[in-house]
Amino acid sequence: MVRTLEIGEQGEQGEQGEGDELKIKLNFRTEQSWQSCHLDFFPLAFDDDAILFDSHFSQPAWHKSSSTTRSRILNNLVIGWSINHDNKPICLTTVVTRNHMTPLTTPAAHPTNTCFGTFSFPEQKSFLYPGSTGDILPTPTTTTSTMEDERTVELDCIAAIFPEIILDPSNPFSASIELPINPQNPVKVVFPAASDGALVTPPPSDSSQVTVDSTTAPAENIESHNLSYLPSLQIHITLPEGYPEEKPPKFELSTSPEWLSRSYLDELQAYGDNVWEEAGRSAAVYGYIDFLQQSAENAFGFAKPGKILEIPQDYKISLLDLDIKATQAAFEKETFDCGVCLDPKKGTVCHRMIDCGHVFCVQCLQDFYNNAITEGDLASVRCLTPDCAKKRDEARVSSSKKTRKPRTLSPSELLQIPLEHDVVTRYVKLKHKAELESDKNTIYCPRKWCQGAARSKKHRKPEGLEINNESDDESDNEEPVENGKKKDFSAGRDLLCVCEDCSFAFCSRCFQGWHGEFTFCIPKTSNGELTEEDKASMEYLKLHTTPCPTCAAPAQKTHGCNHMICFKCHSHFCYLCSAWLSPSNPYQHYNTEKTSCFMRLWELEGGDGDDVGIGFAGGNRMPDPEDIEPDNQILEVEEPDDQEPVPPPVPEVVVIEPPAPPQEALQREGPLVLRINQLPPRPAPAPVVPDPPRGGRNQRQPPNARGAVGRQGGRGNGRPRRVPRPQGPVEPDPLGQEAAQQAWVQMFVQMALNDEEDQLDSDDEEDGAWEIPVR
Amino acid sequence: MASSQKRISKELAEVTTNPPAGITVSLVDEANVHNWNIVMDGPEGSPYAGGKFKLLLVLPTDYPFKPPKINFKTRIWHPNVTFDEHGSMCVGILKPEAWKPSSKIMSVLTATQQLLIEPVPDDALEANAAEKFKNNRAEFNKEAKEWTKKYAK
Repeated sequence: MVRTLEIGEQGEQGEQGEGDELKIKLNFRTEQSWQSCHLDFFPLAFDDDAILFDSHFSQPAWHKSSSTTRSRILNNLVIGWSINHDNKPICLTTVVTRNHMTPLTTPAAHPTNTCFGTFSFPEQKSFLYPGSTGDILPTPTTTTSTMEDERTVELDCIAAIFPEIILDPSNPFSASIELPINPQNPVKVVFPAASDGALVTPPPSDSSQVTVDSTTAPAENIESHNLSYLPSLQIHITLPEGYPEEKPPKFELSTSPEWLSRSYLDELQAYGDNVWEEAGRSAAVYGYIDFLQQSAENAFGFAKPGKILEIPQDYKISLLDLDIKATQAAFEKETFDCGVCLDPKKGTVCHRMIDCGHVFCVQCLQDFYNNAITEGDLASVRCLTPDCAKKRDEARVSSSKKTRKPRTLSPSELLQIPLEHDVVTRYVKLKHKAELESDKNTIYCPRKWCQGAARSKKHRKPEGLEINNESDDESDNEEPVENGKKKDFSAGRDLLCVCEDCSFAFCSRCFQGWHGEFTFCIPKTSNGELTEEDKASMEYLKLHTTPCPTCAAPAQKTHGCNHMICFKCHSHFCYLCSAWLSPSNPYQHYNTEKTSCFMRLWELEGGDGDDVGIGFAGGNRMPDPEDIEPDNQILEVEEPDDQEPVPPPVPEVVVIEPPAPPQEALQREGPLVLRINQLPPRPAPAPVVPDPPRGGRNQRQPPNARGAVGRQGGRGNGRPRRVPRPQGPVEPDPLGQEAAQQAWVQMFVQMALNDEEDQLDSDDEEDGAWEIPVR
Repeated sequence: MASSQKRISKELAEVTTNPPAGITVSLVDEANVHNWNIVMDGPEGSPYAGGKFKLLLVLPTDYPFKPPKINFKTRIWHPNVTFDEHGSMCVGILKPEAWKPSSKIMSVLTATQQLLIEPVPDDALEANAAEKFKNNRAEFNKEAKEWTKKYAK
């Protein structure tokens, strides 16, 4: 089936034959291939606009291929019948109606090969031919259609030209045809929100909807799309009785969905009458269709630069969908030269780069990218055109400096190519890893077996196959709530890290398990080492400060009584035992016999610390080799495990070493046994309490700050005593010990319920040797 | 890799039927498309004019995913080519990070030619030549001409 007809392979002009005869080589394309034939034209008739030729096809190929000849204006040659493109449309319907466009199937009779052509040269070549303008028709022998209705004949011809036409089975003079809209330049389309009623339903008489130009165009912030394909135009043709002499043809136009407004379609319809009039009230159908086709070339004017077509929002999806599908279909029909294998490839096996539009064949892309991803060469996963990324980078720099888009392909594009899911997954993982590694702020999980990166808002762990580059926005959304809540303690907010692999929650400062944001901790390098300086600070803090029970901020007393007010959160607390004190009556703590601080308000009046006052446990203490075990203490600090309430069996740990370091486990038995031996099975806290010097620093841990600071161990002298004590008395009375322990545990639990377990430690001092000097 | 050979054959056909001016190409061994002999005329206007320089172009088996290698077999005194029996050179588009699979041998050859016309002394392999090229052009030209006469005739 001949779809197009062109002169010469490269669009060369038809050559003129000798004399009046025209010899023209025609190249025409069938569905499969190009063919050519030679035409000899014999001028038959001429008028001001055209010359009519009788032609003989010198090659039999024509007979076959031209059975449904479609005539179109191509390089100024019009074969068969048509309108003169440069002048007003002329329909040589008399020629057409004789069915000469369809060479007859009786090749024996030469006249049946006759075809009539309108030939016009761009330079207005003049032909002189003295023949008559009248009878131009050698009557074909096989056609006996003189009595046929002109309308039928015309529609038959149209059907020959446009095979896609659908003739109305109920009305022989009616037909419809679909005109695809594929303008040469894309149309800029905006889809205003449907709420803007005025745009969606314009008054029928007003065509403003479709004639808005860019100057009056709605706000630029509305997203515009460049569409290369629009829904086709439906043309319904009805030729009324009396056509063509008396009545104009009736054209009904419609689009689905209605992207062209009714009013504009009405205008186009009305133009049909003009065509009919200008054709001299003769056959006008082809002329009109041709007019529409040409108008569609620039999308009825909307494809011009600066024009914006507005289409109701409701049609957005279907239009975009159509554009994508049609573009894809056109792409698949095209042939591309792949720049890698240099072979011409069908569009169906090619991929067009989303960013830059370069086309490569799928095979080459797969080979290259699979290779690159396997080798971990992520930077190569980009367009394969030399300098492609570079040029676009430059363009981007000049246009907008801020939008730094990744040059490498997105995982979704890789899947589209398509690459194997596994490969793309690997690509995403490698990319994420590379991002983390290149960011020196990345924090890694302290668990040795894990070493995953902490969840980061900047480099979110990819879920599925998306590289989340926009995650910053999301995190911004999440942030404000927390901000408001924790504004005053902003430090804590940044400390919490959660490993994205093992979900371990840890503190980014001390690399211990998460201890809450208020806990004071010492910065540490991720390898678990404290710097010398930090170690010393830690030591000092342990010896000479007391943590606030509320916010754990360490406080050091320089002078005065033991009623402290936190500089940070203004909590009232006791310097000796870190207990929270009621702001309304803080001194009650020192006046209640029950507390270990009874009557000790003025202890350490001169301050605490080597450099301040006399330090009640630190500065003046006798140096004791077993006293401080810095390593242990540090470890205690590091141990986050004791966040939970200390379980009953380790009360002494609570008292003396709240952090309960694991290495302590071995020692547990010793102290416990000692205690049992020293205490009655049910030791009453009462006797303990009145002894002022006892609690000392050991007691400082208030229930709520327990384990938070871990500074207590070294302070009291109790600790060193314990080490030498273990075991001794255990042997003689294991049973009694067990009973005693049980009883003791019960008591502890009871006290813990009352939040008084602190006082238990008073049982520690059975001898006064370690007692703090009381002043 | 069959697709690699196919592409090389295509490029060879392209370069032999329509060779860039001053360049002739042949295969070292007709049975192996991976090794090419290149004969490049010293470009007019350069101190290498009049000389004929032989080069060896080696295309790796995973060409075009990996860049080809090109070496001067004729000694040449040039800032960007080592003045020894290897004749190694640095051409921007052959650097692995710059190479793209759709770069072609034709562009490698023309880039090489361009390098003879316009040395890049800031990216030099032959410091002596680069130094003279930068600071004493006349001396450079003279010396380059002499070497051309000596080796590339």
